[in-house]
Amino acid sequence: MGLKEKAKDILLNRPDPKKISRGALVTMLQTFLQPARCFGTRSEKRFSLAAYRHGSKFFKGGRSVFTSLFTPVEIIYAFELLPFPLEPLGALAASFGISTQLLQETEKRWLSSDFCSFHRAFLGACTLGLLPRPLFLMATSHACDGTMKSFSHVAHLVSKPLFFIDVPYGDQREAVEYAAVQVQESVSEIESITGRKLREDLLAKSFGYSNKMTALLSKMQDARKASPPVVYGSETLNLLMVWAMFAGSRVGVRILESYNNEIEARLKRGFQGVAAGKRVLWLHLRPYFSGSIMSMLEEEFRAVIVAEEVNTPVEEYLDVSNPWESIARKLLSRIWSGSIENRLKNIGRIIESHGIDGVVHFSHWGCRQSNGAVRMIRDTVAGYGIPFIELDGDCVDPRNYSEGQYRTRIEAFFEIMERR
Amino acid sequence: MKEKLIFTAYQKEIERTSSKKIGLLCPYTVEELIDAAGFTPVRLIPHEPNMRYADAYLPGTLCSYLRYVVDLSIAGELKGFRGLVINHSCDGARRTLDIFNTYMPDISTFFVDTPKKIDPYAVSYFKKELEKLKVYLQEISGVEITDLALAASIARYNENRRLLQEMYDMRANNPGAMNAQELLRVLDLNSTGPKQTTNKMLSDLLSARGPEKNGKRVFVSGNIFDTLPLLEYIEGCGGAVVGDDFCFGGRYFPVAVAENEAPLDALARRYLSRVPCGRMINFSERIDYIIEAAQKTMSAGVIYTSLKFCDNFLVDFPLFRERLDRLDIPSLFLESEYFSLRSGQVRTRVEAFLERL
Repeated sequence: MGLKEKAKDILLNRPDPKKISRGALVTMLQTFLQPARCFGTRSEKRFSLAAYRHGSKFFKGGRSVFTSLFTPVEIIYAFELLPFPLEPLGALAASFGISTQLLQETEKRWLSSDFCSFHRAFLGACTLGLLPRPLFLMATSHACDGTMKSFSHVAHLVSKPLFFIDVPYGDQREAVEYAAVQVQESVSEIESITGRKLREDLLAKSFGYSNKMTALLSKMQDARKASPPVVYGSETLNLLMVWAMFAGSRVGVRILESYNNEIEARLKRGFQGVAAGKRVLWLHLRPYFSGSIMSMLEEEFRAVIVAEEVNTPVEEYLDVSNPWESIARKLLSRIWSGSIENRLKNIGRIIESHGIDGVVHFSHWGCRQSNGAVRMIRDTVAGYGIPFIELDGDCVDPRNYSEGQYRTRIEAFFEIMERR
Repeated sequence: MKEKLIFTAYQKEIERTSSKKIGLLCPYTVEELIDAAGFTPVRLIPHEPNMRYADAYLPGTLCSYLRYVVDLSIAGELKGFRGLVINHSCDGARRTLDIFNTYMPDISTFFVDTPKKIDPYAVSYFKKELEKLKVYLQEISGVEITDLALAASIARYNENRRLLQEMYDMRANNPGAMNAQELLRVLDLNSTGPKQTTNKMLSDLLSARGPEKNGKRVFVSGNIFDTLPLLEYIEGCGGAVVGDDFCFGGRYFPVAVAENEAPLDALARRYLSRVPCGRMINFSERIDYIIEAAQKTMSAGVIYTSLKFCDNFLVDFPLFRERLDRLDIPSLFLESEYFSLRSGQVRTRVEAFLERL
């Protein structure tokens, strides 16, 4: 039995709590340290190692908080706690090749297989008791209904409180106030559970790092407008996880600085690594298991994903003199909140600014909010006179993956782009 | 049969007394405001099982009820409606609103953001949303919604809630008082007609007691789809449906609006603190409610149903099942598209379940 198999065995077949941390660490180590594409660049290496260290602290019993993708983790860092975002666990499990077992575990327990597999994967991990218990959970209601449902269930499974921010629909004054008061209430709850007051200096520090990260991401996305392109999309599609894990930390700043430095260096010296193929905008998430369509797209078809909507910078800066309202404004500025107009405008902006030749929407099976918008996205993209393709699949569950079908559709998509 | 005559008479009476219609989709819609503006709030109920147009707008992995609503609209069946009030019930509702606003600009829509929480901040925010709804309704009706009119409307709706409660109690005591088909007919009429008229209908029905009937007592939990085939299968196998928590059925009427408070405050509080839908943060109270109702009605088992792709209900089932198992209450789980419950497979599963009881 190989190292990875052993780890899987410990994690899934014989989930002995004493061995779980070790098993998970072994798996993480093996995955992160394999001489794969993830170590292709210095910035990716920095990100991978930071994620590994973060995971190590978590599994070694650090004072952790289960967070959702858009939780304002700056607050968690200001309390000197460790945010552990649960959604990326599904991606990680898929890349380890263990997502199927986690999903099957939830199916055995009557959870519908139509529910988002990102959420099901971490529900499976928590049901099996694979994760150390956090101090509490903190989640926001975006991007989907599934977040509240799955985090409530995890809170039940680990018997810990959930602090939940119900992000309102619009961005009018009353919506900002409602979001802000919930942030403030959550902080009071955290003070009560940790027995310590939030220190303004730590909050200022955390906000400072977060704002720096926002500026760095904007700079990086600007640089990606360059032609020929200097970065592969597969290098940057995971940056969403940097935000979920590190927003408001020095580590987060260093990771984004590293990406920016690398891009600047490539711009200066010229970069031959990325072929000057078609420029693609990638919408929504991607499959995370091996043998997925990303390599087909970028390596075989020589297209370059020059922008991803998930990495759209939120140009709202956090202000320590008005902390709760500034966090509220940032929460409300996410393209996933409110009307589809926000998302469509963002797509239009990227098409114009990044010289996009074609747009791909990956329709993750359980995602109602994103897939429900595909018709409107398709029509918006058509308005710019460029091709659009919707790829149906699952980001985490490899059981129905069929490479042949994707190949046929991607080939057709490229033919249309070539003919233009 | 007397009930059939009542339904026919009241169907005509509803058509005669209905004013301009405002469509609604979800029981979180504050109907009292619509009523006080002189409109008739009408729940949109699909009757055509063939999906004609909606597939071009919304994916098959989205709630089929919402897809049917889009279908109705594209088919021109909402032409008699003055507007549509859509609540922030779920992700699907949010996207349905986007579809209406993008492709059907002729239909006037109003979106009510509906908090998932029930604390004082949520109530205050929801009240502000209701103030905006009030302004919208006044604009399109040209009628001022006075506190007096709103208080009268609240009283009418509270009376409706009381009558529905009485009807459910009657059926729990004697399931023969009203069969499944009649129950669903009443719920359909009640959610599509003016309450002045449907209150009279409910009063008449309460005085028309049916024959005594017994059978294996079953509680059915569910959301918003055509459950008639299921209820008929249960009755056909000798079972008796003694309670439900359908969106516009058993979960619609509990909790009255306080009549001694400022109307908008009272409405905001009531709608957020009603028996919760799976969309609310306190969704586990729905599980408590179902278990309590099942025990109160002496149900031998619970059938939990849900629309396919409804995350808010589907995800609750594991917790629900865990609770029922602990209490040794048998349960059956069925998920279905809006019109798909009529099938041999469902019938067989219901038969097997009833045999277990």
